[in-house]
Amino acid sequence: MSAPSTRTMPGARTRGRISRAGQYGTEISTLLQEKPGLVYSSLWGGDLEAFVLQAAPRGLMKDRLVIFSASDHVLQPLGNRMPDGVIVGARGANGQFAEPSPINDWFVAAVAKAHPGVNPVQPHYRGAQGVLAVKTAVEKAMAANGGKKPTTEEMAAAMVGQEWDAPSGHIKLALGDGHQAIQSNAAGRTKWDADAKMIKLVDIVHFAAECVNPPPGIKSADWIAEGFTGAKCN
Amino acid sequence: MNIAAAIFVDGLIDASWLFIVAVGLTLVFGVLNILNFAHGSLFAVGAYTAASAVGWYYGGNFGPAFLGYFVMLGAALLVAVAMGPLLERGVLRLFYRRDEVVIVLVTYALFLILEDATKLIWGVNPYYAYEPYGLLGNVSVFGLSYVGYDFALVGLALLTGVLLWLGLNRTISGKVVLAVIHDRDMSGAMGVNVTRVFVLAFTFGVFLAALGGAFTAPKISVQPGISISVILLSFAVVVIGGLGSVEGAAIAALIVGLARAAAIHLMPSAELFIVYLVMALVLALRPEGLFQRTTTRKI
Repeated sequence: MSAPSTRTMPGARTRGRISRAGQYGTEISTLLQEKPGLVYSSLWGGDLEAFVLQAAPRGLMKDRLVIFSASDHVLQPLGNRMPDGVIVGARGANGQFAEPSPINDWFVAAVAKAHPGVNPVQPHYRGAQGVLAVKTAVEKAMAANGGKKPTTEEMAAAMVGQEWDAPSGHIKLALGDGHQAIQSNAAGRTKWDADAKMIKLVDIVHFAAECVNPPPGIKSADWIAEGFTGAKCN
Repeated sequence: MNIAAAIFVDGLIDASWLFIVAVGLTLVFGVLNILNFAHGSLFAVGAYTAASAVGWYYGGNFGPAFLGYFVMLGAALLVAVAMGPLLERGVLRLFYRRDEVVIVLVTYALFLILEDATKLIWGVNPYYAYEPYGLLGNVSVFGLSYVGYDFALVGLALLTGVLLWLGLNRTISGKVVLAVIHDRDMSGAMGVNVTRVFVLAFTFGVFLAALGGAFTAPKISVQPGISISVILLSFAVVVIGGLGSVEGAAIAALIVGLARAAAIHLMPSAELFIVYLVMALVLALRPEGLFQRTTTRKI
């Protein structure tokens, strides 16, 4: 692992880097041998699903803290095969992490109508925030050019430093001289809801965008190494 | 658990599914002289078919849980019977007289077609066939918990290897296949129906790929892209073992499995290239592979 990672997780070691047709038996064996107090992975999609299907029966996810930082989208497919108590992230306040708001309520209802039975998760939310970003840029550019259909260059200029509301919350292009977006993040624990027949996320904690992103002018790795100087947390 | 023991057990489990897939690839090369790039896709089709069949079987509660293994075997047979003759007679036979590179390109085209066909049929979301995975409980080996199914897969690989060896070396049909492998022209001159041997050998190769896919499906998430990682590893195994050698495929699968397990346990960053390092070393010392005899070229 790189230095910033060991700064946040002293003693952390990397085991396994790539997917091997979804076979993680050896990686699981090495982790079991080392008896870690915490297992972290940023695996996602089918790779994460395979990892959980193989790790859970072998006891890797038992009696230790397990963190999957990009895992909200596997909760519905895995169902009760995902153990309780796993800390889940969604790369933003997406899915069950999204706080109630008129735009989120509208979005969840629209997804339910278009795709019954599908719980919207991070891909849905990030697709939506992308479309809304373009919509905001178009409106801003049209306001500046007298209402004409904006050119690509006018839209790009309008997007610099843009802020807009999305189902996952407020997003702003605050870094990189107005070209890099930041948004809030969240984490929660898994808990199987037998009545609803789905994994619910409990003990949810939200982090403001300025708490989990560096201020302008400093790289993320350096910011972490320095101890998150200037972070504005809740 | 002793690390050496863990490396051995993990390597053996890894080698088992790899052998089942790779031996089919090497058999097809041995008989038809075709390096079948689509072999990975046939593994994927086997996995998808088994996942669908297992979902149907357990979802409908059609019988005892253990019969699910036979459902998976049936899925592999179905894929072989449906696709083997179709691909061999419908596509490959048209290119037998062409340059070997052309045939590899044709099989690559088949790979691309089958990749998109699986997406058309099964979509892009992952499929699961997890029910068979948990049926055999857990096994503690030197203090580490393993799923019993993984050792059953080792048993399946051993059974496949033994039956294949016995079939090739102790039956008349097998000796006919060996004769075709050795010299197809002379075999044809001696009255062997070489065309039928080609169809049967290719179909059996498809069966082995689909069998590997079907019995790997319960432990993975069956999704687009599993074919490419399988074919790359299978290529490495058959090259290390020697193209056309069943014994070579077995030893090479074990070497690859152990090498990867050792890398993950001892130096994880080496896992990215360890298989290809082993392949390069073998080719540098013995270009024809470990078990392939050098052959004379006919003029």
